[in-house]
Amino acid sequence: MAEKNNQSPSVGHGPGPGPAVVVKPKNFWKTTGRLAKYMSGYMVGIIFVLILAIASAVFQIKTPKILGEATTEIYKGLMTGVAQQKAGLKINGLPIDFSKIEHIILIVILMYLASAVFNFIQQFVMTRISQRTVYKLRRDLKSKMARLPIVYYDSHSNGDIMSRAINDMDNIAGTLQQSLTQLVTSTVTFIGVIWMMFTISWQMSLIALATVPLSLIVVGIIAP
Amino acid sequence: MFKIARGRINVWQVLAAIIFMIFQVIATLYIPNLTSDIVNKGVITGDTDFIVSAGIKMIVVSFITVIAAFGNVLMASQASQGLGRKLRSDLFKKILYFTHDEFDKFETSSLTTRTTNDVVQIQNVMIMMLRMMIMAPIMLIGASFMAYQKNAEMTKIFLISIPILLVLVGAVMFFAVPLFKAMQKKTDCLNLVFREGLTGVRVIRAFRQDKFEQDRFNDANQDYTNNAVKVFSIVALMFPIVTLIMSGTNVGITWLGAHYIANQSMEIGNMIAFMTYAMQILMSFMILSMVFVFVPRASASTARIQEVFETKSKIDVVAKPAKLKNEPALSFNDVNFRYAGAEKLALANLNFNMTKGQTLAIIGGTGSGKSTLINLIPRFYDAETGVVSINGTDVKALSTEDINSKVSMVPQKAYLFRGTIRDNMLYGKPDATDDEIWHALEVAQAADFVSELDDKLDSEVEQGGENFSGGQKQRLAIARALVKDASIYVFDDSFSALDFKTDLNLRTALRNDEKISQSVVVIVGQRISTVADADQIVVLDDGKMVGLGTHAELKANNKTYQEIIESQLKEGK
Repeated sequence: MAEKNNQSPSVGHGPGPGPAVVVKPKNFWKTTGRLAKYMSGYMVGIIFVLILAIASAVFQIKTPKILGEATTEIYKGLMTGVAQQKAGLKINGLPIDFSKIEHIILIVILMYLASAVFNFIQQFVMTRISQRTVYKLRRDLKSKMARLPIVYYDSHSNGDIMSRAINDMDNIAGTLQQSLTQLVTSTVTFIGVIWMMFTISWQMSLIALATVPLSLIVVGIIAP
Repeated sequence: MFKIARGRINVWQVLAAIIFMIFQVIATLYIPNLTSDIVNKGVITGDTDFIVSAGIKMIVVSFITVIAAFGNVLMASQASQGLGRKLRSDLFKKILYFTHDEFDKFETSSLTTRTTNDVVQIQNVMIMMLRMMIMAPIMLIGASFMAYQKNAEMTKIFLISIPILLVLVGAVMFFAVPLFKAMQKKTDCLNLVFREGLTGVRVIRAFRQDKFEQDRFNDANQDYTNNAVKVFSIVALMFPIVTLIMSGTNVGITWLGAHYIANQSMEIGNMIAFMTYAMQILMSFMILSMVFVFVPRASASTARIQEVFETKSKIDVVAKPAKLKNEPALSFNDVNFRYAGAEKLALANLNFNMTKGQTLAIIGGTGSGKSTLINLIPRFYDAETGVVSINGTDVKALSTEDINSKVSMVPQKAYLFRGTIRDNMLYGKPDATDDEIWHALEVAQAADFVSELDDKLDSEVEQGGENFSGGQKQRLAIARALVKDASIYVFDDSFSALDFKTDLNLRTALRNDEKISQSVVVIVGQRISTVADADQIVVLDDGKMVGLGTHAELKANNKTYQEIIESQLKEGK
């Protein structure tokens, strides 16, 4: 969260009134390909990060369900207790299976821990990869500047070149650091959660999913 | 922070944002309550009607949350953007009235950062403040109260999780904040080196210093990267820690809850509600701890802006400006001047008096104080002692607007603004006709090349006028100054980029021009030929006026002037 906020106070392409103009990327695939080339040296690291991201997401999804089993266990005990009371039996406390709950909680704690560690390692590695990539990008930009004819300097305002070299580079670093892992984690979480929801109750899942188009409409209106 | 916002932020928008936020908090806090009711009274007893009615209530409350949140965001954004707009315009206004002294003190690049970057920084914190920082304590108190109501015993769990959260988050911040600060400095450094590479590109190429520049940038780049890796690695700890603590709290609540439910001191729905409140409490603590990161950063920006505001312009706004007379005249009486903090006088004992239709020329070697003298006329600097007066009135008694309207200046370094040639020409007289512009271009010997351009007056001028040659820029800048209706026209070494013939034509045209010949003209020059036909010539040497008179007089009996003539004769051969 903190890092996101740090990356974002972009002065963009010059201040001015009105909403900031979002520059639509030209040659999206070409530029993405170029970026990929810069990152190709870190392929092992990236794959490692992706695996960790998937693992951490899987744990994050699994745990609520397992913890939910504990709640169910409590509920079951409660219901049997209520039933017993109704049947006229006198009971000392409700018959909740504490050893089972204890077992569940132990597993949950371990899974949460693993998820946290994975998450950290993944961020740790990705920070290095993205900062090194942008380091190289900056270095190459600077050496390109040394090879450009003077005409280029005359026909491009310094402010514009500066904002590319500093601001845009920062944005790339921020995006690599955050978005790449987020994309993977979100995809895995999305699929995983839906799967989990359906295994719990398909009817309820359908209701929950009905809100998705609704929120997409809202997003569509706000951020076209 | 608050000092700078006072009077600049719309109080009603702030109030509206806070009120919307309170509604949002209340609604958010009410929802878990409904959930617990649904579980306790609906699910367990199997009362479907109750579930439906509570569900409808829930939808209504959610809807209120959305509307309140939307209102909050809208108001908070408007308030903070408005603050930014006001700050920028106030800064710009303030800086417009800075004298050269203050520009020297701050440097232009720093003033730019202050009006753009620092203002954005404040704007960002303000919006966060109105949306989250004020919400956190309210949420914290509200959620704690609700949680306590649901189960007082279980609130003990916070006695463990909150201190852990605070200590860990605090530790992360403790290590990250200094690094963030360092990063700001390293960004500046990266900026500086890269910018120098841009502005100094010609020099770098000419001296073949590309390699050195490359290495210099590489060092800054490396330094920045290392720091960024460090700081973001530390920050990477934050998210897992917070998630872990929250999950742990949830687990703890389930464990304790199971026991309370077993001995029937708690209902199951309350446990679920309690979990939600727990999340809200921990989130609030998180946000509060963020405050300690962002507020110091914003306060650094605030201090930098405040510094600009609190700088008293050396030239006070004249309370009751004297009326400026129309009869052109310029005089210096016993004027002494020294730059701020300098030991030596930059100008000593200047005396001269020019009236309508006269031309004053100033000559002297480099560093003799020619440009300094010029800068005293439009009151860019104030004389230490003595009086500079235009049209018979002391400049210190005149309003800045009046001075600027009567003094038209061509600076040493011609600067054109981006736009068309016409835009530039209208700079000193917005209602000038095309005839007037062409006439000025004619006098400035610029009409020829302008009329050869495809778009004539509508031709594009790039930033700084880079698409024109040095001599063309000079002549356009001269024409711009001539369009303006002034009493005093000042040319600060403006003819240096012109060849002898153009120089001569221009001076002849100036003398024959109806408007200019009715004014006072001040010409700073290096060449004898430029100054020879002036009515009076001031000879400067190391800030002292060593001669005053006509060309013939000075040639006859002024040693410095003779030396200058001699050196130029030799050069000419």
